[in-house]
Amino acid sequence: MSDPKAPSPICHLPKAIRHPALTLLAGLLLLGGGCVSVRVPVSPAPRVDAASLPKAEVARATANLRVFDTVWDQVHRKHYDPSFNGLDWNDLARTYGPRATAAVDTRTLYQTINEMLGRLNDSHTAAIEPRDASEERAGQRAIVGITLRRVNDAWLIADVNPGGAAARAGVKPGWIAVKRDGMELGERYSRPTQKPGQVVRWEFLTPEGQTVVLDLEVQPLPTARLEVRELSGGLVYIRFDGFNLPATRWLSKELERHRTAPGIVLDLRHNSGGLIASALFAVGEFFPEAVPVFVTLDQKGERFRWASLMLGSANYAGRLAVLTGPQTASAAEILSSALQEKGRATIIGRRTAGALLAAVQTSLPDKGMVQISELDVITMGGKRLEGEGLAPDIEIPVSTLAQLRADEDPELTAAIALLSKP
Amino acid sequence: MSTSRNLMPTGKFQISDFKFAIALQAIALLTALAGPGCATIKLNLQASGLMLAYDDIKKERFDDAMAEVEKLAQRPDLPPEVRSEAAYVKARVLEGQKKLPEAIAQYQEVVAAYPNTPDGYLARKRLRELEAGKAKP
Repeated sequence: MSDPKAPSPICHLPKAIRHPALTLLAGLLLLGGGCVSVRVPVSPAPRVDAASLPKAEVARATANLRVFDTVWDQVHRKHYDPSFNGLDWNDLARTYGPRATAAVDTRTLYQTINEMLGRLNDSHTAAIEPRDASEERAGQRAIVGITLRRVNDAWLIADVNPGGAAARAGVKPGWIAVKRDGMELGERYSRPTQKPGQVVRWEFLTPEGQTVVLDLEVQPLPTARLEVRELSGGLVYIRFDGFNLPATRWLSKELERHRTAPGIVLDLRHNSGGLIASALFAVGEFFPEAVPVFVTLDQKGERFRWASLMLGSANYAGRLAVLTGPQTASAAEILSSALQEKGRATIIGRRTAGALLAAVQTSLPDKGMVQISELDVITMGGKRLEGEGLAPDIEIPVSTLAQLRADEDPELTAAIALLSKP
Repeated sequence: MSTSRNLMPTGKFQISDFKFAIALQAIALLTALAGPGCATIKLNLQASGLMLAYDDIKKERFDDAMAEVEKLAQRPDLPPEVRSEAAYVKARVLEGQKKLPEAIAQYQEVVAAYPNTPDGYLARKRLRELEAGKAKP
């Protein structure tokens, strides 16, 4: 006989819902997404002393502490590394908690939290400010469509998004970005908050030394860029910059459309990753049958082997070259390594980012987000790419400024040469 | 861009919904009964012996776990990834049985026989931990 005073075996439910039917409902809720009881996280960080602060500051400090506590607690319970990179996680709460509580604005709060999370030394665990979190959820970013790269103490335009205001205004890769709204970009430039419709004045320097000033309208653009074009000899170039289900569907359709192409160049140089499921579908596009792709390990050492997904696969059987670089990260490293390890593709370019852990995003009380690496990832070839990256089969040195300005792409050239060989 | 946020990958490798991903794997299994997906079905059925062994390890029923692993290892039709995992699990079971020299020998065998597999990686890691004396029993 069960003890009526014992807690429910499913979950510590409030007394009011211990009716059998409601217990069943609660059980179903558990299957759907977790315990129905509310758990308020509390870290060992010192609490707010309301008596010593003005009223407005108490409200801010309390809100800051709620965000900090949630992040601390989530990492404590879920981070894949039970040793927390050899750190005393309680001690870090006592160090960073007061600083987070005293933060005067959102940016300072998140900088402090990220400083603490940075001590874990993993590529994926980070707190994301509400602004960025909202863009992440929407899959769009309010931008003018230029990608900047720091080269020789200057901000070089490495890429121009064809759908953005910069492309329409004639901005070209290889130009130097000098000022934004009259301010020098400086060594540690980061994109400030901007809203769709806002007009930003950019000052550029062309390779010919001419200064160009343009008023560019900020607009929401997809975070994952998709591009396909035919190359010489019937080869096809496919670029996609992120792994989400629409991008994977697009990839599948393009592979189906070009299934008779003798070779495909898959450009993952700007692909910073995305969803696990999307990566598994992408791997499934290139094999005639399901293949094991990687193994994950959680905080308790529980292991799971992930296989490619074959539903709706184009099953492309032609030759394959994959372009990689230091921005090729995470799910893009999974696809690259799976294709390389199984001898399905030649990897051309530069070593990948070495940012491969499986992370889960959780909303924070202020609509920000914390992303926590919950699973360590080992490829089926027995490599842990986190912090290491994937070495290409054919290494191409970094493009020079002159090559960028001449619109040369030595990695693509090498891929075309390889795939054109009989 | 150079903020600490953007030094990290912006797209990430996410399990926005881990259960959804697991469900996808299950759907892939169930819907791929015909055609190429059969390989996946077969692979997972063969791996079920491993799941039983893991369950026995969790419950510290190491003799039962060893029986499962040895039964599995005798099967001639095992895919390589299941065979290497079975060898690694055997080493873990030996550790659980407090047979440390045998466990070390088994880890070494995994490293030698399956160097380029997750199990080779994990066996190397475990050997390093045992050498450093920081291994949990």
